[in-house]
Amino acid sequence: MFLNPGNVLSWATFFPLAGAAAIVVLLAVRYVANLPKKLVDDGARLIALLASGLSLVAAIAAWRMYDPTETGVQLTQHFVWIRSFNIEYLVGADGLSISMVLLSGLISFVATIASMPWWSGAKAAEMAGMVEHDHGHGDDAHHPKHFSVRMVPGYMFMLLLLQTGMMGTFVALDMFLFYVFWEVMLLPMYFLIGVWGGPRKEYAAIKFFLYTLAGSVLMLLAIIGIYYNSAPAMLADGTMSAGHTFNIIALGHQGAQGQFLSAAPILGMAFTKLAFVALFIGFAIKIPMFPFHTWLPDAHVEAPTPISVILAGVLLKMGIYGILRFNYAILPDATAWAAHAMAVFGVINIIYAAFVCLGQKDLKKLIAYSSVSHMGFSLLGMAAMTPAGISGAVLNLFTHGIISPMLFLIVGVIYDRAHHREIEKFGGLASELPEYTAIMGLAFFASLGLPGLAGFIAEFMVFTGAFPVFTGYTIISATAVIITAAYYLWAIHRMFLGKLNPVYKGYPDLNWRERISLYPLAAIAIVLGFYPQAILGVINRSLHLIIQNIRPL
Amino acid sequence: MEHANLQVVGHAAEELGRLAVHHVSYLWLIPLFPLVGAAINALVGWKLQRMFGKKIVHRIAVTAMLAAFAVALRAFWQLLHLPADERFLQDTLWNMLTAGRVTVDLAFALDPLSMMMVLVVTGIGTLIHVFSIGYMADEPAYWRFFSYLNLFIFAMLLLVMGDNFAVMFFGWEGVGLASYLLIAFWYTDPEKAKAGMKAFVANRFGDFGFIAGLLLLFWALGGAWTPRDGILRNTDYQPAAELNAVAPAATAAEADALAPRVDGVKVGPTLNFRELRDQVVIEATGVKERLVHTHIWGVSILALIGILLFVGAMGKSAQLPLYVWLPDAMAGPTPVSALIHAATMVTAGVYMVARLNFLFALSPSAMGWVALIGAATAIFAASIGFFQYDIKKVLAYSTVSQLGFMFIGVGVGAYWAGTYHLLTHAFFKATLFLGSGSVILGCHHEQDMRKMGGLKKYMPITRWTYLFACIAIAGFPIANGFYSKDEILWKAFTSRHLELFGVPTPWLGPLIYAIGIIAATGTAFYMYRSYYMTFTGEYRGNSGHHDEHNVDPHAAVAAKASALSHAVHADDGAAHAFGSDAHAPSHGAVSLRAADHAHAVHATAHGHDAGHSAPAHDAAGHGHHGGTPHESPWTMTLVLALLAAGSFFTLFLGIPAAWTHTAPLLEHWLEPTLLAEVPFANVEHVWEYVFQGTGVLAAVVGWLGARALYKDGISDVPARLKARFEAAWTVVYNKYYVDELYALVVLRPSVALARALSRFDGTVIDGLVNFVGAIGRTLGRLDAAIDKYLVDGLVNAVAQATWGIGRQMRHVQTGRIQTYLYGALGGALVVVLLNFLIS
Repeated sequence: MFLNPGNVLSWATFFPLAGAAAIVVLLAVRYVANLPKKLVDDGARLIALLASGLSLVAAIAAWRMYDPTETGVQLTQHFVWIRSFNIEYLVGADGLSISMVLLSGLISFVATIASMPWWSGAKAAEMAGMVEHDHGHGDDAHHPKHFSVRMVPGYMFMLLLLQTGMMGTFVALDMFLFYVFWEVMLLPMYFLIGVWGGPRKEYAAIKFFLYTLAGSVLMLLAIIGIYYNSAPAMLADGTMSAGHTFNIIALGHQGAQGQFLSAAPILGMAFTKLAFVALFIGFAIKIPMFPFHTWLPDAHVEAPTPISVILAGVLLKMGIYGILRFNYAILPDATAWAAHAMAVFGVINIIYAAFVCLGQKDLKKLIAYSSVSHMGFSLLGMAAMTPAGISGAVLNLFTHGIISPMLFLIVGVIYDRAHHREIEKFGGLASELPEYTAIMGLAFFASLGLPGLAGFIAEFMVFTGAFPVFTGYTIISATAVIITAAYYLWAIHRMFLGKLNPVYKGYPDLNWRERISLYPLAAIAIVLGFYPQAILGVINRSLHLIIQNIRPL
Repeated sequence: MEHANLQVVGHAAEELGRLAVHHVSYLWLIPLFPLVGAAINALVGWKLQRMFGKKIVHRIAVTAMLAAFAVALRAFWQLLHLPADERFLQDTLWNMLTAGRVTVDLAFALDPLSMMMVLVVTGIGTLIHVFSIGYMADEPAYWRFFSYLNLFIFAMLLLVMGDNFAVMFFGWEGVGLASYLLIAFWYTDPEKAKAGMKAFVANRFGDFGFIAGLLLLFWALGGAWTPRDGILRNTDYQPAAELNAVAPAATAAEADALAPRVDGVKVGPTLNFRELRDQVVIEATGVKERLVHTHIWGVSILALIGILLFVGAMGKSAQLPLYVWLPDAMAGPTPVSALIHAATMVTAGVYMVARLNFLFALSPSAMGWVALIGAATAIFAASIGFFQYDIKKVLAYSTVSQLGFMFIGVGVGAYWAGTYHLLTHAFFKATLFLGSGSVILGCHHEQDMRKMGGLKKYMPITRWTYLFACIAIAGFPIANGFYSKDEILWKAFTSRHLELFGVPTPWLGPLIYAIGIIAATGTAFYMYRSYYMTFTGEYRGNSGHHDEHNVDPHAAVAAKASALSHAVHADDGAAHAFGSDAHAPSHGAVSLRAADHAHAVHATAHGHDAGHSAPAHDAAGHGHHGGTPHESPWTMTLVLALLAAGSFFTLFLGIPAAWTHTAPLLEHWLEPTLLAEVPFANVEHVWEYVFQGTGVLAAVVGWLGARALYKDGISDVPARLKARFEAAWTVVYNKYYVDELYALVVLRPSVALARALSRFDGTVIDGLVNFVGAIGRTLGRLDAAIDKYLVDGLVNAVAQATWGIGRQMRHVQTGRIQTYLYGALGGALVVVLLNFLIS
């Protein structure tokens, strides 16, 4: 078979990159053969769809090939890359990775679909500001050209590059390789926000870029520190590495045996703690954890819809993923030391962001802050280090990764039509856009944790898991169920119910592009609501192994 | 005195063993049918309605209900033929989640208690579906209504049939969702939409308590996994090692295999009702002993669990102080009020307490609070019911009050009596609500009783059924309400074991009895008041000038409705503005695809909704209601008759033991589920007759009072009393200003905090980030300046110098050979000289 356990993760990672290369070739051909713009645009779109579709196929195949009854890393592929620094190309997946690979493939594909241009009548196209002869207000700042028709090959190139970066981050098991993929994500994201974004795109893009880069620098320092304190390990070709290792699995074993406890303290602080803090801040920015969260609302508000989808659906998950992969696995002692603080930050994230949501006037900002709030559940759950807590935390990554893209797609739908997102300015939309209202309702209720939809299970598990360890914090964070319901229902009330604001008369309901991107996610949200074991069965064993090193169960 | 001690005697004789379970594989069909019905109508209902008319929509919905009811009857049949202590059917579909000790199956169970609930939900549910056919006939979004109704039934069935807390909570929240959707059914009216939101959020306060109680229970059964902060919080009735062995379980099978057992009984944390029951009830496990003696934060853990779970019940079952959403929920269509806000959903809290009777019975404190809150709610809501003019509001407060009675029952330990009142209430309150719906429809969507009167002439069936339901709720022995209420109050009087704050309060039972009997008098009063105001005297709705050709009531409604709508339009505007928009949404929902069809509907629906959406107390526009009231179509009156008949026949389920010397049928039936042993005081037999007499007397007093004041609307005493006690009347009429209090204490501070925090986030936190950015930029500028003027200046200076030197040197390069030769000679001389000097 073409896809086999030995290469499936690599394929999932590099299909998008191949697509990006194909787009470059296409552009070269365009200059040589002088192809028409439309042909090149459509070609780029097709390549992007194909590449991310294939990546999704490979991700699903990997998920199917993964054997959840086994612990440890599977589907590995490795060879020595830079021998002088013991750097390997090493990819593989445990339950944690495989769930994120699946999510990443899925959300990337959905985002690619959402990047396709409007597929409905001329009126809709005009409303999106996409038609060239649009009564002369094409240059109106309030009537911008839709991102899906601006510099299409460039956009698709960046999107595919981003997808490779994301997938690679989740499968890399070599610290250096991980860091490379991590940085690969940054650049396309910067351009995607900065070029195709909203009115304040430059500010948002630079804020995102610098903020994340600042975290990366700390992370890099910690990685180098860990490398130089590590013991040698076996390389891919069977030889021992010279002096140290970048191999995350080997580092995990060394960490569990206390390899880093004996490292020399830096500035009077134990190395493990310092390394933990440096790594943690790097990842916490990505989560984003209070008080490092303010880049997120700006980035979301300015990013085009599909980029918001990826940002919320995949990128935020990397923070938690990284903490579990690095901090938990390699620095178990420091993790136990920091658990309490993590729980506190989790509670702050949950409650603080929920209240901020309640005070939001911009729908997209509201959704962005709700992401901050929901990621707090993951922090709380993983800090508890109970099986239910940590499984709930990672399930929360997955379910939030399904629900929040829906929410951002939903914001995109109304923004494409109304060109604003002010909650107060809408009203009574349910009368005009019934289908949109229905899918919005499903997504909002999923996000506020209605049982039967995906969001609830994760929350419930985090509560059950965290309660024995952080009783008080858990009770405090359980009040979020009230606040969350309040802000979502209030938003529904102001936007969709009541009398129809006549300005919005005649707005078209969902078109097929929006349906294709929304309905699969809605279906998954319902299925996971009743059968979360589909994900839990895969992640449980790997996660329990991680916490076993920190606290014997 | 065998009666009072029946429950104790019944079980004390034999030691309780493990629950005998019969596994069957068809229970999932019961909730499946309504789910399918809901899905069909939700997804393609609008299309079907356009293509085949409304018939197809309600046929789908009612068929789904009938199918569910049929399967429920099948299960009932099977249960009947099992020995009493083996009546437990169980059906597991799949394992939803397992992580460590948390393991949840999607599983259904039917024991006598849930069987009763399922029959009520599917039976009365079916009837109310049928009633809705007539009531909602003019609704353009017919499909949406029936889809929501089916969805509600599905969720309610999950709630009552759930084999574990999780499935129950799925249903618990699902009914909340359906309730939200149905209250806000006419969502273009902001008030109705707001009522839906209020219901959901108020319920979330309850859910918070429910979740907290659940977590505490789960934890109390197993203790913490690991000691933290040096405090070992393990409850140590199980070896820690054994409990911990379950922790790494990743699948259901592993969790089951690793679970610790005592005498074959699974112990430790569980969400499953059976496992919970077995380990608590069977003494040998020691679980009960541990739980009773465990304290947390200085409070008995069982009391805390009970009270927190009861907070959940307060939300769903509208008890003080979380009842505020229920009266507002009357914004929904009347069948919804009957089904959800009277017969089924609001009783979920009572059901939950009854289901966990073995747990609540262990904590006299929890029981005391449940009973006390129930009693307080009963009298508080009844007093508000005295002065309301909106017929549905009267019934809403009545429901809150009756739910209080149920909680008195399950609170004092008379679990079967509380459950029985749940059953009787489902019948008579559904009759009352649907009767009021019939009245409202007959009076062209008028809800103000001051504009009714004399309806017995026009609506005989509605009148008689309504009257019979009044008899039932007031507590005359010819209908079911007497039997359940009497049993509850009698048990309340004889209970001596209740506690508050861990202090024994033997006086609490009699006190609750006193409150209860006053509330019962009040109940009779306000119910007969509503009856007399509505059905006796002269019709006050400006009757008679319109067409008398109403052979088909619906044609008449439609004609009059549109006439009314125009009349109002001509008159003024407010009500019309509401009305014409009220139907727009539903209309719009269909008409987007079905403009042609909906247009016809439009005309009829136009005025129809006008009444719905106008604020209840807003008299403007309603004085113009013309037309004679009319009896409702047969689908509605038939349902009324059936429910009234049910209110009669269900009395045979609860004939007191004092009369027959055998346990009432229902008590006997529920015995396997409601197994908690609660002691009641021994009181002489004769007293029970005295108390029954007192109960009837209370009903008579209430009835006569209402009769004197309100019959035929001729007495001016109510008006005089109102004038005399204006201030008190205003306070009660405005529901003691509780809503205003909530706004002041909860709502406004929350929103203010939210605004403040988002401003804080935008300015301080983000400001900090931008400040760091600004520092970076400033440093950058400074650096650039240094670069430009200092570093670059230096470079430029060097360059300048080089250039200058070069220019000067140009003079050297003249091209004249002799100059070069002089130069070469000079150079050679220098080299020689240097060579000499250095060496």
